[in-house]
Amino acid sequence: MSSALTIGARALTTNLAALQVIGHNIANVNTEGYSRQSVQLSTSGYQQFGNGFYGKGVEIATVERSYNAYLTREARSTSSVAAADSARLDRLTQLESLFPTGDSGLGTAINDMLNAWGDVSSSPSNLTARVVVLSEAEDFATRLRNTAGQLDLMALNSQQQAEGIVGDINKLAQDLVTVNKQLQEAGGSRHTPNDLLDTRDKILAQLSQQVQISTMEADNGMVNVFVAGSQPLVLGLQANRLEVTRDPADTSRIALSFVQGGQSTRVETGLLGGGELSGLMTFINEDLTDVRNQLGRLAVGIATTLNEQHKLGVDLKGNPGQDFFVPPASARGIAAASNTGTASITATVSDPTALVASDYDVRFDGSNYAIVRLSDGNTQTFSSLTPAPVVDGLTFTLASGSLATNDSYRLKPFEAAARDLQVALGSPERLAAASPVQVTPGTGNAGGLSVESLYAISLPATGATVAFQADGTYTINGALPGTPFKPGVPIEANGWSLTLRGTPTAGDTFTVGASSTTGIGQNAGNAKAILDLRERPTFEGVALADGYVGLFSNVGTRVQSAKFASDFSASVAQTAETARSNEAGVNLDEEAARLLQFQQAYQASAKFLQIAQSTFDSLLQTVGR
Amino acid sequence: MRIATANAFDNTIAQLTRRQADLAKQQERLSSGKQVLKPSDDPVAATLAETAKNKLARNEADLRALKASRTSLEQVESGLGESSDLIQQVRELFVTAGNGAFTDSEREDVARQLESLRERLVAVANRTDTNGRTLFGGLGGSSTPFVDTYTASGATVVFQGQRGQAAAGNTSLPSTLDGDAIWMRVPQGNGTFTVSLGAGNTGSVRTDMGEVSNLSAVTGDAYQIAFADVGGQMQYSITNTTTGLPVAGQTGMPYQSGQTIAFDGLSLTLKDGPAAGDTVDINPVSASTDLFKVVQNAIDALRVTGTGANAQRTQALTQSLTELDSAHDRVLLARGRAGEWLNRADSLDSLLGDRSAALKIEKSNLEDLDLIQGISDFQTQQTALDAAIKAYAQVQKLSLFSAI
Repeated sequence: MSSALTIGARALTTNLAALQVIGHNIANVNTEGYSRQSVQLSTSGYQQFGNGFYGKGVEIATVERSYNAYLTREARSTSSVAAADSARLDRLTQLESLFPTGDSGLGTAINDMLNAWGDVSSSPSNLTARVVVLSEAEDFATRLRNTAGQLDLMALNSQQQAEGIVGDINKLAQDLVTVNKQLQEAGGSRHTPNDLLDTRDKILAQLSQQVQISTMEADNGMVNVFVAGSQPLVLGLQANRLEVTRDPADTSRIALSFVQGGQSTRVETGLLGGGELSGLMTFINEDLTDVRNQLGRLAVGIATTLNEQHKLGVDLKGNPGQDFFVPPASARGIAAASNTGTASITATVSDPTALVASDYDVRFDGSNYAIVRLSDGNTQTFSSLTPAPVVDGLTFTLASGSLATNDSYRLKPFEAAARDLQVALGSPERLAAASPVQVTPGTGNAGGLSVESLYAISLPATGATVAFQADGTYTINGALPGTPFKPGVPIEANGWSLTLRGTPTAGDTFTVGASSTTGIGQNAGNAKAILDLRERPTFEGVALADGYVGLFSNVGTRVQSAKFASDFSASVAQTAETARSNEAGVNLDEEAARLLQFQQAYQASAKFLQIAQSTFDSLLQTVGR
Repeated sequence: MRIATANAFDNTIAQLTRRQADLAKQQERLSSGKQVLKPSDDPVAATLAETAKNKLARNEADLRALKASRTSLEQVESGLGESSDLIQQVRELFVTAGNGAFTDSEREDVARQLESLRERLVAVANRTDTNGRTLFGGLGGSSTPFVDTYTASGATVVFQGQRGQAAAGNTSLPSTLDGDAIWMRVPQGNGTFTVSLGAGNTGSVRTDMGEVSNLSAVTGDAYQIAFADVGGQMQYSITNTTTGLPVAGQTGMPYQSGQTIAFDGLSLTLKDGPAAGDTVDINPVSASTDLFKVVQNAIDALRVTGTGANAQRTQALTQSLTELDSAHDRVLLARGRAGEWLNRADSLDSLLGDRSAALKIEKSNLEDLDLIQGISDFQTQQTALDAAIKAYAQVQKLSLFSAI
């Protein structure tokens, strides 16, 4: 009798508890990170009687949490990668907006500035044409400075954002420690603390959004978290910290360091693996630096090339040309923190057509000096720094002091170039459109040759006589053998370049000498030289006037590949998350069906109790008087 | 396979958001008319479009320069036309001045007119274009290429421009001509030698310009024909003044007015009667003269007085006429060249215009949206979004809770 009541009572409470768990599931259908809980029922054992084994009813063994460790880990790591790609894509899209094509871009400014020299070449004494050249150059310099300023702002914002993320990570680590503590207190029992574990997993998911983590779980549910490969962020009840530090060799980059027990170790950003922090660090340290160097190289290439040719000309007052743009400052070597030497190294531009957009390191290993191009790791070794070695169009000069063994100096020749570009000329009369040399044809010339252009290509440009022989070759100052003549191909000698067209006759001579000062208003030789600069291959083979094309297409390609990567990793992450939540998530229809199931069971148990009670009543009725 | 409710909703929302983003992007494309809005949409197309734009800008600059050159060349051509007209007027005056019946004052009148024509010739040669560039200065030089200087030996024009002709490039034309080659290279006499009368001639003998009859026999020496009266008959003897030897077979020859004398590859015709002791000098041509000097020589000849002035005058005017014709030829040649360049300007104009059009088409092909394709894509995406929304609306109605 009592066992029937017990069975009934137990069934009632069990079914009620089951309904409660279902209710908990329904209530938490939209809770993020919630894993579906289900009751595990088991029989309450048995009793042995003479005529058989009688069961004692039902009891709840435990409330189980629906959880697949593998799927959860997959979802976490793929979401890390997706977060990294997405963070980088966001930033790169912003970066791309700084480099528009078309009329508002730098390419139009460069071409307008160079093409304006054509009007000066048509009428060298016309001041209006000269003023136009100066104002186009100002426009170019302004656009360049604005872009560089925006890049700086973006770098600052990104660095602040990185600091914010690191703060978040540290806070989450602390939260995890709290949960670990609670798990420790709840541990030891036979049952799993389901909701606590859900909280723990939620924190881990948030953490993996910020940075890729790997976890090791203990039996009681406490978890140890490792970042950047093997740095222990959370070890049991102790949380360590990540910190953002300025890279000592390079203030434009930032570095991460891991602080444990008062000691801080540098974290290589390549080991971060994923997470928003990793994407941001890649953007700051690689993408932003690369683009800034390319912009700087554009500025340096154009400014130096234009300056060099401008100084080979003569202005309207008869003075030799000055610098057109303020010359870009030489880069000064930044010593690494571990240096023991006292050297002062500078890098100056010596050949603007050979520049590569990269930072450089100068290292000394005790016997040889290595100059490393940081964009691709290309190294050139020299046994001594005198005479000053020339690498990629830059001359590296040891100004003072010397390098000790294992010293390293970082040089950034292009970092500040775009930020500081200014036009150095103020007055249109200072535009050096005239050439310092002029050509006089001999009086006996047959007249079949005409002069297309003459300008200086290096100083000093000294005079010489070009004489044509009967075999169609020409000699310079009579030096045999003669060179074959091709119309339209420049004749270069003694620092000038002369281009003739037409047919030569034997005995034709052309004498190149210093320009007369009275003819400055008619002399546009240097203006033609600057127009010819448009075709000079300057940026790794690309012509000067097309320099911007390489820059924006580099940015565009980066964004496009980041977009592909982000799309791909986002879809992978979504698939993994769907798989995980399909295993662990709540399905309302399923819960509704189970609700009915346990409701029926409850009704049946209640009915049973009622029946058990009524049998007792009828027994009492029968036996009682 | 189980499906978690929350996750199903999340996925649907993600899909809807994606479709909406695609639709918005297509809308942006339609409203701007461009396929490639940012370089990342299609880096290759963006690069090619920008390069085409650069070439277009270069083309525009070339067209501008061509226009400036054409304006200058038109002015050059009209200047040469004016110079040619002035030379015609000078020629007429030369012919008029040869009239033997003129008095001194009439000749002075002609001389004055010639002087004013000479000044105008210099002015035309010094013309500049609207930007201050000299039209005939050659490769540069002073802003006044032809300077009239007055020295003890008379008025001479000095060329202070820069000798040499600017070349026409692939898509450009010169804006100036070499004035030195046009006006300052007039050959003296008949090109090989000049014939002048001795300064102290008293007779009326005069000659024509002479010609080269046998180029290979020309020695390039100077000669003198001396007349002597021998027994009532006028005889002439020719001496090679460079070698000092008399010319073979030309000593003591009888003279007749109108006869042609030929020796050492040269021949000339003598007219009228010389007096005894008169000489005729034949000098080889060493340097060129210039148009202005030719006119000046004629002016000076008109002012010569004294005995034998007529003969001197006639001789000088004959020489000036021949030299003037040579000068005129050179001006006409230069004018022809300028005209040919103007023709080339036309064809270059149309070439550059065609290039501009082709580049614009290329740029548009790369960058611009094909409107029909764009609108059809927009419709497709609209339909897709619509379908996704409707499907979602249907599915979310289905729930067991609404049945129990």
